[in-house]
Amino acid sequence: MRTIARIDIKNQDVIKGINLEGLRKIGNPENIVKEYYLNGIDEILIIDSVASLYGRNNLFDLIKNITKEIFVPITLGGGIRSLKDIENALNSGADKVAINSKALEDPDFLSKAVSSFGESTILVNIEAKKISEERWEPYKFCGREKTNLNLIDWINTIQDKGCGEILLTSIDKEGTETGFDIDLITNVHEIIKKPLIVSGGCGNLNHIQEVKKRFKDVSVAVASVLHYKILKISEIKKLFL
Amino acid sequence: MSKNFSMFGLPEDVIFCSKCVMSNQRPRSVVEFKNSSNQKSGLTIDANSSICDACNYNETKKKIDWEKRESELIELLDKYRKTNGYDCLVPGSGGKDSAYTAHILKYKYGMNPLTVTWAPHSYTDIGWKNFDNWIKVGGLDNILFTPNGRVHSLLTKLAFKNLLHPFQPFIMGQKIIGPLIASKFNIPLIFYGENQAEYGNAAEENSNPKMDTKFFSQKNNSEIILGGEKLSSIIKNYDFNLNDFEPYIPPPLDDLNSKKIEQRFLGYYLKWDPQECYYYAAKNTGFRPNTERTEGSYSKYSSIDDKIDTFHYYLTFIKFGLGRASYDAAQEIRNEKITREEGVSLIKKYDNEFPKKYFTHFLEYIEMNEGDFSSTVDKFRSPHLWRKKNKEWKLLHQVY
Amino acid sequence: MKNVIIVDYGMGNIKSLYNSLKFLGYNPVFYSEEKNINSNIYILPGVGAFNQAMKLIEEKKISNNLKNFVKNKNNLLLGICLGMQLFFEESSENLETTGLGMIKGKVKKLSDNKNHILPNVGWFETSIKNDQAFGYLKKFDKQKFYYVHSYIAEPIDKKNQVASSLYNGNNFCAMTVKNSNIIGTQFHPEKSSEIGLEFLDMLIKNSIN
Repeated sequence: MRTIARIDIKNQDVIKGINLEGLRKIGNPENIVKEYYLNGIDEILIIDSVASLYGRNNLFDLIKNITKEIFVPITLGGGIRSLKDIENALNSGADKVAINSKALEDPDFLSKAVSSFGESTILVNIEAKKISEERWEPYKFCGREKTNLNLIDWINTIQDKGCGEILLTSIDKEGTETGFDIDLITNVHEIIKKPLIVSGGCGNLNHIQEVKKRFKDVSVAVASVLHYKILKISEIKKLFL
Repeated sequence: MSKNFSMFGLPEDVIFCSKCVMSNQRPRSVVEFKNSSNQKSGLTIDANSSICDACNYNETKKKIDWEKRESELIELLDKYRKTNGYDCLVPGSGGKDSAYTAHILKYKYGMNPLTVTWAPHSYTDIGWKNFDNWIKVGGLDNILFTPNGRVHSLLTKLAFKNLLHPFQPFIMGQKIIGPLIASKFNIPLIFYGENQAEYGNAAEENSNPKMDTKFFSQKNNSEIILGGEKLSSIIKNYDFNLNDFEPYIPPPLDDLNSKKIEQRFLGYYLKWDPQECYYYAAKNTGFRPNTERTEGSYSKYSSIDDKIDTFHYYLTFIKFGLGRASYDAAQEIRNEKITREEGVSLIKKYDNEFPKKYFTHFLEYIEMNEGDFSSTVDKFRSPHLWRKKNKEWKLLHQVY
Repeated sequence: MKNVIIVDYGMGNIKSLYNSLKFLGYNPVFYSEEKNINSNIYILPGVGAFNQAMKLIEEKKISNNLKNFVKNKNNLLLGICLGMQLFFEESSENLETTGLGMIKGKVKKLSDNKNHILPNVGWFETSIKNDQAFGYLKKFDKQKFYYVHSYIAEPIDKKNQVASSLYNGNNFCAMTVKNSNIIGTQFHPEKSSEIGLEFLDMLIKNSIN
């Protein structure tokens, strides 16, 4: 069970929203990534939160710089729309890429990505919103656009087309610090055959304990607790010793 | 009509601010119950610097001694605070701005506010949930005032037809309900969030913590104009009587003066950042953003409680060439959330988006068919902004 | 500064490896770029499918170079992840593909159980055999390193297995050694933070003379 730092970036700043809305600045990306690395984070997830909105990829330079001094796995997501984007991401030093909107628009892209770069390089990022009892829907473009798909169907599709890991973000819980979306995770846990990372809602150690207690082999991605200095990485890692 | 005729009295030459994305076509707030001809004055853009009043004010804002302003607030509140009974009134919908205003006055500054809500035309699900949470999660007393549906929809229809301004009845009632209820409950202090002057009304208005009484009071009922028509004609033509228009008739100035009722802007005393209001509301009053991007813009946290709302912005796009994305982007540029380049990119993408989602609902509300809707809309396309080419309307001046 | 050659045949995060070696003070050089640099250390990385990797290695005619390279006991060939698996005879991934054949044994899937989650990703405790030849690695016994794989190598001779880790209760080969100069790790030392870098450094400095 890994502890992953989720770092959303807009231009030159790390930002943190609530329910995937809002651009409150937290600080300098390089400094923050370095700090988390030195404090023992297992993995780093970097999301370009506006790549899709503005149709651009800005973070390759950042990746190039941080990988000179940071030696844990780094995943880059946000605006990955072509094989060339994946190639550029890996060439700048990322180990994995996270794909969301492009996969929703063209699921076959996942198969192509997997065969070109290897399954373990491709992570699918799902932003899920609850639409009714026991029903969730994956969203596109950082929680902005509906897809009218059923989350369960979508998970089956991506596992069929190919992916190395699944990152599941709860739009409803994200940034609220009120706990992970246990209902959501419970709803999908059984059908997931790939390593699962859950994201969205962590506010304290109990929230992580709860995920650990209920679900076998699920990794957690956290943001608010680290950015707002609510928890120390060492405290979180102690839970998994 | 000359090729360049400007229909609403706004400048014929369209100029965009070099800092934000607003243009000189952005209308200043008018006294709605005197609005008959739709004549407007626009946002002033400095001829030399190409910077608009709102951006200039924004620079001034950075130099304000906010600590001093806060102590002014505390001094003011100390005078009004009551240990039993309401000591202030906060009109609002439970959206991010009023959620912040009411909650912080109560829970940080120890006041006892009564919140009052002028109901939206048609609540969206998220709007209702946020309103409900404001009261139940945020912890506030509230009076929800819903106007007579038949009157409200008539006025909306008239305002749409005569002024292409369907939101007028809502705006009118929204400005009046505060003083109306304050008068009835004898609450002398009313707090709004931010001063519209921040967005480009007359710059001098910003240095005044109080709202000009002209916006919410009047001296003579016979002068009142609703939906572009004289109140007296409406009563005659539509089989209503004066009683039916109580919520749209501003209280007499004498009445307010004798009760010493005044409206103040919290934004004068506390540095206003709409996005930070969102964060505050999300944390404290159970506010949630919209489930998806609002049509006509990119944001999800601004003005999401009324199904008619998207039409208000679509029609500002028609009348002034400025849609919702323009308004949202201008605000976020000034508050340094996005760059001007990003703002332009967002406007390009979303500003002219037609609000499909509630179109049928809107047509039903104003009792019009699609054809009449389109022809009415077209009547308000000012020649200095729009030209028809090959059966398609083209906006002549864009920020990009 | 010691030269280290990274065998970039087209698969694997060579950037990470390059950066970590540079960080440790080595002079990393890509095999494809510098034919004139001499080094007695080659690193074979790898991420992806076995058959694709072998195809590329054959195309670039690297196979024989590597085999000749290891004949000299003063040369160190270090394989990481898929790179390590390529040392073996064959793999059952996709089609039965022949590997470099330097170490006897096969590469197979970590588990055929449909309920087991693959790839095996994460930081896992690694047990290092108590072996005089690798006394310098003792300090890394029971440390956690970063793994990401769906396949494992199974050396026939247990002498070739120097470290192991667990997957769903079963041991698998985490580190292999042949003739003291062919060494492979299933985990990624270049992605295992400070402990991984230290491991990599110690390995290069101590494994051969």
